[in-house]
Amino acid sequence: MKERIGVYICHCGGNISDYVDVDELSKMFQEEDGVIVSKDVMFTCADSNQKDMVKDIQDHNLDAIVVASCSPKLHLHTFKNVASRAGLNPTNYVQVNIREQCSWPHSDQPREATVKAAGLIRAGINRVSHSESLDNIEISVKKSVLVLGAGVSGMKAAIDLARLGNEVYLVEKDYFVGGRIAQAEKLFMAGEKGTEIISKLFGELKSHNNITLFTGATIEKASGSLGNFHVDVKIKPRYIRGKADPVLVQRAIEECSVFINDEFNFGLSKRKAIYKNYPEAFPDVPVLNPEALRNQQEFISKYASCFDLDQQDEVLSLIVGSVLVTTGFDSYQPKVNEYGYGNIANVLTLPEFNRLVALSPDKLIYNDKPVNKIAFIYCVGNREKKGENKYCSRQCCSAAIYSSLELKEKYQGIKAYHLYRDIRTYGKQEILFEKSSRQGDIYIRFDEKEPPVVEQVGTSLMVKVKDYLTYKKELEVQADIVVLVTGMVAREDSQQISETFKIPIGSDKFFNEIHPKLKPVETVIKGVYIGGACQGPKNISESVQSSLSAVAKINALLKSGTVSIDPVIANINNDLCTWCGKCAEVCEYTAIREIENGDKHIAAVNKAICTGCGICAPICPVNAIEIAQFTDLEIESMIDGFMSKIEIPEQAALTEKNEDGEVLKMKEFPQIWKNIVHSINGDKKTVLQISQELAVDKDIIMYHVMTMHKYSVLVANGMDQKQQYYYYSLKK
Amino acid sequence: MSDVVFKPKILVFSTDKISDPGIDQAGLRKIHYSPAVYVISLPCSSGIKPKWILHAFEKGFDGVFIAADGHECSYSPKCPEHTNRIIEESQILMKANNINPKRIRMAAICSVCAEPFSSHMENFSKILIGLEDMKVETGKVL
Amino acid sequence: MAIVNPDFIQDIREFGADDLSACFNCGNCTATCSLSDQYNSFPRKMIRYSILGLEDEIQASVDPWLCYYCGDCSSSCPRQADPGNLMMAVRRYLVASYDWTGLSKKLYTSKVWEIGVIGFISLAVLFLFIFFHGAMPTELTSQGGVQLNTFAPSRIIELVDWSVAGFLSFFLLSNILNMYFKIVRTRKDLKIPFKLYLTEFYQLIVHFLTQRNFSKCDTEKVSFMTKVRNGNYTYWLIHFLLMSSYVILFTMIVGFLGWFQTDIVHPWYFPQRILGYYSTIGLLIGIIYFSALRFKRENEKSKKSHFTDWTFLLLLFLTATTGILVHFFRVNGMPMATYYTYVVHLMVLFPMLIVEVPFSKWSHLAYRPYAIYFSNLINKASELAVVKKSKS
Ligand SMILES: Cc1cc2nc3c(=O)[nH]c(=O)nc-3n(C[C@H](O)[C@H](O)[C@H](O)COP(=O)(O)OP(=O)(O)OC[C@H]3O[C@@H](n4cnc5c(N)ncnc54)[C@H](O)[C@@H]3O)c2cc1C
Ligand code: SF4
Ligand code: SF4
Ligand code: SF4
Ligand code: SF4
Ligand code: SF4
Repeated sequence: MKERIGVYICHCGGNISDYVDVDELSKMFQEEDGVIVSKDVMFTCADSNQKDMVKDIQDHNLDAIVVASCSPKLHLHTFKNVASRAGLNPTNYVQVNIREQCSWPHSDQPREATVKAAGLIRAGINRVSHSESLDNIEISVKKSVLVLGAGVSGMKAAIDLARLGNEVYLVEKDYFVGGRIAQAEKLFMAGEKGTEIISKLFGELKSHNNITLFTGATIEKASGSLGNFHVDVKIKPRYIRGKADPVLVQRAIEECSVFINDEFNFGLSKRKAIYKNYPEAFPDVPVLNPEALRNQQEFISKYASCFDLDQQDEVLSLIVGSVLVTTGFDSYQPKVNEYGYGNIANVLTLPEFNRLVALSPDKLIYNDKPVNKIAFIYCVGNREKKGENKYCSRQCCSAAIYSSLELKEKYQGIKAYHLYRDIRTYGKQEILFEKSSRQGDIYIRFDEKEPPVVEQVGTSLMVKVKDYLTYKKELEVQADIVVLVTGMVAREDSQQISETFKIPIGSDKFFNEIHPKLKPVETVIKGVYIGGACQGPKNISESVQSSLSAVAKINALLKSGTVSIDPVIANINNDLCTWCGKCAEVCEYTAIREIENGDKHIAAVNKAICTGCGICAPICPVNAIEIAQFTDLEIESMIDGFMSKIEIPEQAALTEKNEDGEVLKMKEFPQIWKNIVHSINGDKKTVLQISQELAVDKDIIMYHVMTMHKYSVLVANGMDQKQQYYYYSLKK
Repeated sequence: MSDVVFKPKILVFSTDKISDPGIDQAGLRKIHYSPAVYVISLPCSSGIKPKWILHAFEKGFDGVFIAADGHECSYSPKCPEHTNRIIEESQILMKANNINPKRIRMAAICSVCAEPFSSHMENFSKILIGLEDMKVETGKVL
Repeated sequence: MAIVNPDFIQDIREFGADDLSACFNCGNCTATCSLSDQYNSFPRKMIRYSILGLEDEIQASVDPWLCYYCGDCSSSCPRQADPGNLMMAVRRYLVASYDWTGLSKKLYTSKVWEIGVIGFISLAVLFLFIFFHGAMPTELTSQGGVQLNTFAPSRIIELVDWSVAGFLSFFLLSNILNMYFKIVRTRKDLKIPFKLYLTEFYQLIVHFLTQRNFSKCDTEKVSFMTKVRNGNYTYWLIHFLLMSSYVILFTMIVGFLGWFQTDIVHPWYFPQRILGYYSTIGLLIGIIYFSALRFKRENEKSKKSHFTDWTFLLLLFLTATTGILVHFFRVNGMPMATYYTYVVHLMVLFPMLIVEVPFSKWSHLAYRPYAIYFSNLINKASELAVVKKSKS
């Protein structure tokens, strides 16, 4: 029990004291048991008051403080710091919200607001009297990071983490690095080639010997917590000997006569059974497909020095301090017959079409027919009112328009139609839209309710669409190819990754950060971060921005070798616990495990993992779990506080305000306001004059005069001769 | 006047990151609701103990309102299930103690749900006033 | 169901449109246009049709004829798509599409054709004179004038005039009929009562005589006199001067040549001379004013000139100056100069009439009032249909 409590009640310059009788409350709490100091203050957060508080705590040897002011979202840390500075444990401080949750919403009923404020403050006092001094939990961490996914986000992050001195394990599922951008021939805005960016990044990767790259690798299992994650990585073999002579391997590839489906090019072409995704792909070692070469014994044995079909999956265990997930996105795969996809031969998705363009150097030919007219249909699989993907993928408009611009550069006589719902070429990408429009691309706007219909007419395609820009007229667009501008969706295996690392996923299946604005790359799992397009649709620069902010966060976290985390965690009462295991079942973070304690088994909380969510607490049949700072005693004493009898003398409560509630009473003025009023006293004076007269810093006077002006205590009354300062006089 | 009208006392459990900021919004925008509403903010609505709820009723609260995060909860996708379970358990406890189970309510309140919060408070107050047994039990009706 | 034709953008460019592709359909142009109303919404719709290449829809539209090219739309377009210029180009396109001979399209889209046809007619006139001209007496009449009617008897010229006039009217009227079919008859959904045809006809006359819609183009709220002083009416006034001069001359040449082309030197106040002076001066002022605007390119409507705009002005200018010279030489008793300039005069006059009246720029004089007539027919008829529907 705390028995030397300090209570500070804030006027907030009138924001509170206009409606809540702060004077009366501070007097009332002076009589409260255990309260040593009770004050009302014009601005509790002001520097001068913070100094006073530190002094009070030290002079009166306070063991806890309550500040009744604005929402804790604003000043919780301000006053925690005040407590720390005065040598008080910050957990012995309670913030009571009497502005956002009292004076403002109840500004219509000042008396009730005062009664409520009294209840809230008493609850705060009760709570703080049961508070315990808790120290932050210190955990030692390994300076190593697992980066999952070597797309542009992951590669860039790995390089910068390594540069900052961290040990990096970069794990890539594919046999080659680079992710999706390898498949786009040219990228907006500057027109670089995706493959060139990848080559450049790979060169940088290689130059850091504290990066270990695993390709063909996935995560088998992960456990542990911030600072010490235990991760098992499974690596699939390439079936090429590590020491094989590259010249010989090259010869083998040339000689190989077995062709398989080329997944990198979406089956638009065939590739050999020993392949690289594209000639310059990295790492510069091809992959062999053992199934395809099963019957080629002769060929295999001829190159036995290169091939090793006996290679097996390998599993490596790593220990890392932190994990960064950059697994990127999948492109939406249209359903069968969605806009004819899968049924009508010349309907492709944008990624497929981009590969077709990349594979066609001077003439665009598809299914043996020259392609001149191209109809793009936008928002496929996105922005669905009914379906799951309600979001907009935000980069597909730009990607499609950029492809169409590139087409016109690359080939002759191309005509492009864009059947869109809205064009979202935000930021600089707007230039692309304008350019394409000026070049004569035809934009036709449809509504989700009446989507275009693709039909095969003879050898070409006919798209029927109601154009909202032409009075919903039914138009027919003739096209050689229809390109479905498909949006981004979460990776197929995102659920699995989410389960492995316990990262929450949203209803759209992308990984969820804690807070999109304030904690944009952090997950609720301490030490696990997300970056790039696995968080949600992003273009390259946005992807890299988010993965690099994760780098900064991770580096800050691991830098000192230890981290300190909030003490708000679950505590098990060993005497009560009978190990029924229920709490362990509900904990999303597997923070609870069974341990032996003397002669019985009980639950134990891993402090590094526990988030303090409290989900385990109500489930315990014997009420053995309490969350620090939210104990039964604390919560129930708050309830008692709300309901305690409060006597507010009727007259003392503020009377109704005038209509705009802006009149302040002299008796509520802080001393400095009174001094200013006396100084002006019927005359008119400038801030400078008042400041000299009262010998108070000009800025402070300025601040108060402005506030007094706001509350109509003072009025402006012309300017001085140099036109520098306003004169102020008292309002009648 | 104000002494005559019965304002049901409502205890609200909010969540630090989502619904409490929503309630703050109502204040910030000076959207009025009953001053007999008191808020306790927790990390997650799935951490509310039925015991606390019972305590609140015993101490004289007329209603308990859980301002949950619903599917926005950053701790657990199962949060709505957990919170529902807590409400069910509380209602069992309440029945055993002769408290009308309708005196507890839950709704998802998001971080900008200022108006929804105030209208929830208004509706809940009306429901509480209308409950037959409350009239008998409390005798506070005008 | 209409098929999108992406090649049309190129076609309409040949009629003088240029930046229409830049349009992103914001509708600012239609919002600023003071002539666009609930019945006829333009120019955005016309841009949209042009981009999509919906030729049937364009040919069935009267909207382009309702636009008097004030240029407000072009100056308010955020994409500089120049909708006003597009409307002008569409008018040229429409002139070509009403003309069933196809000659108009050739004249508009090919400089070779334009110059070729003009040259051909000039040469034809020249050859006719070389072979069939009358005597070239050098003695003067009693008043001291030249005996022009001996060189080119007005009776014969009149015959030629009439046949040319017949030829022109035939083409013009058949083109207007074609226009009627495209605009009115395509509205299968409407029944137009016969009475409407008559009651709306007076509008046609009024519009032709006053060109009233020009002044509607400006919406500034200042007094009439201020507008006059600020030159707000100058364009309308000069256009009216030009147009009336043209009509007077045309009437005198085609209808009263015997009276107009006289060997008598009348006193200066005689109506033949007064009318002649009024119209030649009117023509010259008009030509100079409009050419100056086109050279200066200050206001929207004169920024962009199609080559046919220049040929029209040039032919008109040459006709007027040679006419004045003929008069001057005749009155001052200079026979040979009179005869030669007379030939040159007809060498520009005939191509001007034949090319411009049914096939090119001049024809807007006829199409515009008819368009208003047709548009009123359609609008009134649809109002009637609505009234009928609500009654029943
Ligand atoms: C058609 C199209 C055109 C585009 N054009 C442009 C453009 O011109 N300009 C632009 O800025 N943006 C463009 N984008 C967007 C761009 O592709 C993305 O912003 C970018 O690829 C995101 O990079 P990333 O590294 O986050 O994800 P990805 O590129 O998807 O990379 C993720 C990597 O993680 C690996 N991975 C996935 N799951 C696992 C797992 N379980 N274990 C291990 N590894 C895994 C993948 O194999 C991949 O290598 C385009 C997108 C599309 C669809
Ligand atoms: S970026 Fe464009 S195409 Fe992609 S979903 Fe958004 S609006 Fe649709
Ligand atoms: S639920 Fe309670 S009793 Fe059961 S293991 Fe957990 S703490 Fe122990
Ligand atoms: S509070 Fe309980 S449920 Fe939540 S993380 Fe900690 S141990 Fe798990
Ligand atoms: S103002 Fe310009 S961009 Fe807008 S609709 Fe008209 S022409 Fe198009
Ligand atoms: S030029 Fe003038 S009249 Fe013609 S469409 Fe534009 S705004 Fe209307």
